[in-house]
Amino acid sequence: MAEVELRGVSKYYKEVAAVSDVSLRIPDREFVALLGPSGCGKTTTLRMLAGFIRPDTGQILIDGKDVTDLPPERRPTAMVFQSYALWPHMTVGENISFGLKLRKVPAAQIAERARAMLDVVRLPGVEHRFPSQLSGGQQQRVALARALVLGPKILLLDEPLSNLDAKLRVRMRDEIRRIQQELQITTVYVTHDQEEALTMADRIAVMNRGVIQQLGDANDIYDRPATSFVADFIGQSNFFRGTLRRANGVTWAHIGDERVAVEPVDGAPDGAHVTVSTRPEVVEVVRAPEPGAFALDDPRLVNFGAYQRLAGRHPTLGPIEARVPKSFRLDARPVYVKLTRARAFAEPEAEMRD
Amino acid sequence: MAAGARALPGVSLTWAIDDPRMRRLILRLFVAGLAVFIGIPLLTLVLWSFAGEWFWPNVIPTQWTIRWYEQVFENPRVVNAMVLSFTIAPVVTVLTALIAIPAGYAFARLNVPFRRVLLLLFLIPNAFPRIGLYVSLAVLYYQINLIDTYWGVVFLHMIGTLVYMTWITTATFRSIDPHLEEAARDAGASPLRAFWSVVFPLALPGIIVASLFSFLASLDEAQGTLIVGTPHFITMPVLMYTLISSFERPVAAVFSVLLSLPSLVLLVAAQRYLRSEYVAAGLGRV
Amino acid sequence: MASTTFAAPPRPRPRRLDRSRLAGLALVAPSLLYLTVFVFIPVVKAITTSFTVRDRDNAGNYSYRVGTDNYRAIFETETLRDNVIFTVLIAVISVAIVFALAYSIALALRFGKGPAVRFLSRIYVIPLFIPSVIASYAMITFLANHGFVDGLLQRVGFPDESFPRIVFDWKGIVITQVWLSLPFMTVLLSSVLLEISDTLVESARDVGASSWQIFRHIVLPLSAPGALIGITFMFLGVVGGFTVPYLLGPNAPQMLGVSMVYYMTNYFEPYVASTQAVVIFLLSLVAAIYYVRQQFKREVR
Ligand SMILES: Nc1ncnc2c1ncn2[C@@H]1O[C@H](COP(=O)(O)OP(=O)(O)OP(=O)(O)O)[C@@H](O)[C@H]1O
Ligand SMILES: [Mg+2]
Repeated sequence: MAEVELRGVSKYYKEVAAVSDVSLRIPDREFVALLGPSGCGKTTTLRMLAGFIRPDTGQILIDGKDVTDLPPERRPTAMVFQSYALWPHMTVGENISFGLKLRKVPAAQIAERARAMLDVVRLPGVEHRFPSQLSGGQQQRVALARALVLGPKILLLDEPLSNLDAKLRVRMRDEIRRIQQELQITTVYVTHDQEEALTMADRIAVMNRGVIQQLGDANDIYDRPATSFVADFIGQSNFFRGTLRRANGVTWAHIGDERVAVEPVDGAPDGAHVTVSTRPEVVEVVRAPEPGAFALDDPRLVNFGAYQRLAGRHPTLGPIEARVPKSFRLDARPVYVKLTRARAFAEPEAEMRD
Repeated sequence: MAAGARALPGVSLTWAIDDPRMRRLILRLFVAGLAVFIGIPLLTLVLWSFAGEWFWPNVIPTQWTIRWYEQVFENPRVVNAMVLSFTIAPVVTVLTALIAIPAGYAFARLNVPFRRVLLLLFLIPNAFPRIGLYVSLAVLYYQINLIDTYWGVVFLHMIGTLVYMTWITTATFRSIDPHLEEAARDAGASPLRAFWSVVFPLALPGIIVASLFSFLASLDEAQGTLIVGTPHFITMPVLMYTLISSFERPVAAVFSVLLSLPSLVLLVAAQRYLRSEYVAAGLGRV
Repeated sequence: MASTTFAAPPRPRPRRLDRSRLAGLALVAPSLLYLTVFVFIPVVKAITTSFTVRDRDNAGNYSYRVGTDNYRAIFETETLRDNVIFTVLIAVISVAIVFALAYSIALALRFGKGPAVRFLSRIYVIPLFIPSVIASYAMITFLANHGFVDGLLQRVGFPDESFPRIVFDWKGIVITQVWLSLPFMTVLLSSVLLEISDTLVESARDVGASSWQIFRHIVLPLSAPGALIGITFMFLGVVGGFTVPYLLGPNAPQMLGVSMVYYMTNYFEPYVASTQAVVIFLLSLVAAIYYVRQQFKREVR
């Protein structure tokens, strides 16, 4: 059992909240990704978990025990750094053994465990090399081995793949996930790359400006974004500004003289200003007028290799994009789009997507 | 564009001269002149140290000998001065390292309270003209009975070495990735252990260079030692004052050669470390 | 699920004794203690001593009082006043010569190539490693009347006694200071020039700037702040020097360093010596403040 909990944790730098009242419970064996743009407080959150930064408010619990005031060396966490932070004056073997030596593990056992861990990360036989003699991907594996050899309860990773090239990044992504599954270790993974988060994590915490905007699995945050920020940051969305009106059990967003049906919105009164979003892949394209379909001016096609995107303008709604198959062709007939599964967010002006 | 302008910024003294051959000639003359200015005075000393007979105005000695070297090593004053110098310099270096390394680490890494004030205080010793400091210190030494004592000399030497070493170690620690240290803490090392196993070995080259320079600075310090160390604590360079004024020219020359040797050996050994920050960090002997 | 509340106002938990700040202070403390005892207290003492006047009554007993008599003595005694002026002049002349030479060397090292420049880069550092006593002595044997140069000139036919007085004269001090300070200033200026990127110089050349214009409008202004640090630091060094003027200087006027030490050790006059020390501090105050401010800016960032 190893579960982590953040309870109302904040960290301020001068007046600025790097992390603001964050609460998050991660059950045993779960892989959680902290996802967000640069400067949103991911690293600060992770470093508070590791013990490098002391929160200004709130508590951190591991298996129910309050570790808020424990220094990093007394926490059952292990961190993999973005820069790997392998000690350049020690061999790979010494890097991996360092923590074991501190724990006074017998020498024979140390060598055995180091070797076993190098096998787990699929990098056998490099014990006697120095980190500088390894490639970036290999150093990454050593960093992982060094963290895992101590049998931590919680594995923390801060953008571990950002220094690797694109191909290698995909390979290491699968590798890290495999090892996490194999060792069944509770993991917190910081990244600004949504693809990494979506493919690797059980649950994703989307952060912005020090606040967790949404916590959920890949489908939750992609299909049911909780805020316009999430809708914008994850994948792509069409956005409109409008006003909320409810009629006959249907919720509408009025945008100029037009209106779009949106999913039900809790807690926002009629007349509230809302941001409406819908994903290009659920926008339906039709070639004949019908109720609820908007005519697109100057339709253009952009080829994305696997699919095409249709982009155009509606005089009232503004720019709209839709995903269309590669077989789609523009011809003399007009193009209409139907905005399905649109979501409306009633948010204070300052919190609108930025 | 003129050919001259393209060859620019070739040579320094000759920005305004367009003929490349002329420019090269002037550069060579400049370098030759500088070499003579720097080298020949030192060479003259070496010649004197081997001179059996050298009557003015001969350009080189007419007889050669090594008997001055023998004489120097038999002279008890000289030997005492050497012994003293070589017992002071290591003590100065070690004491300096012991207090400067922690301070350098704190400035580089820790959240030191009153950091700005402290930085300012650590710059002040370099901002005072040295001889003024030494005379002020001598006045204090008379009152606390440190005048003409071993420790009085040691503490005086530390004024220059401490500031120098603090700045160099600060720069060295700052150049080490802080994540390396955090990784050690994360692996279970106490702050002290993380320093010892990770930071210290990585900072060692910088610390060694700083220590060597401190050692030399102590070995070469003359003016302050003269003020607070006479008459009983005559180090090599202080003895040199006496030798010069007593006109024992070959002996003084031999002594000069011996006194310069440690530094020159270091010059050869440390040339690639002679980065500007080490020099700019505050050489005590401008 | 969404937490759309706006950032709460800071309400930091009451700061317990912060360990890292305490540790920082503890690590700096020994050095600070040392500096206090061996630098700050002496300086303060020198200042108070300089305002202490010792009177002797007819019975030969001393009495002490506070006063500015020591300062008046310095500025009313002609020799002492000359010493102050002499010190400043020597410092200014030495710094000017070193700066010109060092700047030339640094420019050659930065922008020149070829064997001459490589040779230059080897030799210019040598004086850095020669103790100032030795350098002074070398200059004495080299430049004294009946010294090496004098002899050489005799051999090539100059008349006897035509060699000017250099040693035991202000020229000797200046030449030796130049010899000693050249490497420091050059290293410093080189590092300053290194920070001027090649692209900057090349783009100026592309728009057709002449060598002189590049120097005047790009290299010189960009290197000025760094150069000033070197100038102030060397000024402090020359004003506060003893060895060179003691071994190569004239008997009168003396540089303050020499006269101070005489008052201290030969005449046992700590009052006059301390006063001269304070005068030296004051003379270099502008340089010192500039030096500290620049270094401080660099450190604090
Ligand atoms: N030591 C510090 N001093 C002052 N401000 C800081 C400090 N560390 C972080 N911050 C600020 O706190 C905010 C959050 O920083 P953090 O490093 O956690 O962001 P991040 O999400 O990891 O960003 P990135 O993706 O760029 O790594 C940023 O605005 C940053 O400027
Ligand atoms: Mg980060």
